[in-house]
Amino acid sequence: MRKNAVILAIDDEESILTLLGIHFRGLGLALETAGTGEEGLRKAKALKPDLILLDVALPDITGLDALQALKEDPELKRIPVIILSGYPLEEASNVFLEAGAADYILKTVRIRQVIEDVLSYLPAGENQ
Amino acid sequence: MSSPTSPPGKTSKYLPPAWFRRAIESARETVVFTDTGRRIIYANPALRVSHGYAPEEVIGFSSTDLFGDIPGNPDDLGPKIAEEAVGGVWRGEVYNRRKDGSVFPVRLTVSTVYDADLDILGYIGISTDITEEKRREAELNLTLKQLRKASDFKGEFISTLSHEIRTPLTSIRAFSNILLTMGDRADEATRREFIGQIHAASERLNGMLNRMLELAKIESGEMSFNDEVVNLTGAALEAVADMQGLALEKNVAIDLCNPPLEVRVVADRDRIREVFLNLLSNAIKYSPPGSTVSIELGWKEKGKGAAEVRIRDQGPGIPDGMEETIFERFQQGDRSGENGHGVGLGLAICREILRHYGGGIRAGNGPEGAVFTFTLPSLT
Repeated sequence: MRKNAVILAIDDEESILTLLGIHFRGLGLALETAGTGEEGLRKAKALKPDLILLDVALPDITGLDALQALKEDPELKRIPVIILSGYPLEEASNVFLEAGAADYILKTVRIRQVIEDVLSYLPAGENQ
Repeated sequence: MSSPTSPPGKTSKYLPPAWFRRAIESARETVVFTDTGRRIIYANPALRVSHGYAPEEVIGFSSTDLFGDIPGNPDDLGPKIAEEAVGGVWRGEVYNRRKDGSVFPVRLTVSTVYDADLDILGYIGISTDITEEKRREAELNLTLKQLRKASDFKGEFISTLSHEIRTPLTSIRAFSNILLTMGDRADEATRREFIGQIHAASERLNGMLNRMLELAKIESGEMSFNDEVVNLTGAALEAVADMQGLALEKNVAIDLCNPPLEVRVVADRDRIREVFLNLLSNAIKYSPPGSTVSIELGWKEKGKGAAEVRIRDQGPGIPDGMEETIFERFQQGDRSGENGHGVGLGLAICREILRHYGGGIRAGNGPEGAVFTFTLPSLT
């Protein structure tokens, strides 16, 4: 059931985490958050979330490094990772998708659309 | 322009002694002699500087050729000058035309030249280019006008300010006076209530003073702005959180309607939050209980680099004709400084902050209440 799904959002901007939190919690989904790549990787290992939202520009490691670390970990590599990016660049998008990202979502997209997109990647989701 | 004709036959009669001629030729003022028919028979070299003609070029010209058909000059100026100069002198400011066709103002003195028998020989005109003088005069007039406006504004400002100060001050005086008069006879609850009133009024005064200083600082360019990349959505979220208390108190909901995750602008985070706080507190203040204040956030046109934020309430709306004036100091929908924290400076501050960043703000009415829309240049 999607109701029990855990989503981990890794972004250094608190307002984005807050906004995501409000909307996911409104749907009865648990949102865990991390403000740095290092914290994000640690929480991913500990929580084994159903889905990870990953910012491209983190204060410590790059989003790409974080993505690669997730994809190299046998325990985590199957978790879909959706990239959140402020940069509408096709090249950047391709780099992340090739590195194993499930999707590349622009931050200029409105929150409800983001939520809808994210839900479609949740395993066993009702919307699938 | 009439073609130069040969000087009249009586020229020799006018020939001055050499030293006299030298003197006239050295003069910085433009000196022109005409005959009785106002035809130029002599001009000094200063004419080249003032009018762009070599002196010999204008011999035979009518004096009218230098100032005829120029808007701003009286009609029939030539004959009028001649008429008035007879028996005296004509002085005035007129426009002349240069050889290249450009027009410039001169101060002109025309006197009649008589011979020994008191027959009129002709006229002598001495003129000075007063372009620079006129420019300075215009500048001075403008400054004077601005000063007068500023002075009027100051008077008005002080009178409104005194009014705004008097309201809380009256509260402070009245409640403190009662406390003093009642002394020990006031019970604890009354004392607390009155001290609370005094405190609230002094807080209002303090807030007003701070806002006034802030506005003055922004307007004089002394305000420092710490610019960085700011997510407008984040600033809105923070402001909504800050306003939650007031909203609950008034039983008003704040709805941040489906914002983008990120709308990036370059600005001072605190100033942008202040814009949101001012607009939200205003909206809440005028909202009836049970209503909603909504914030719509996005772009004016996607990809065009202008963020747009709309704040709507379900209150009474903005009175007709006040859509512009509410951004002036001390202008409020209901003119009472008592029922909210604003004293009519918040919107003026918002406008100054947004203008600083090349944005703007406008007010209007939607189907349900007031709508404030502000724009800011954005990175996305």
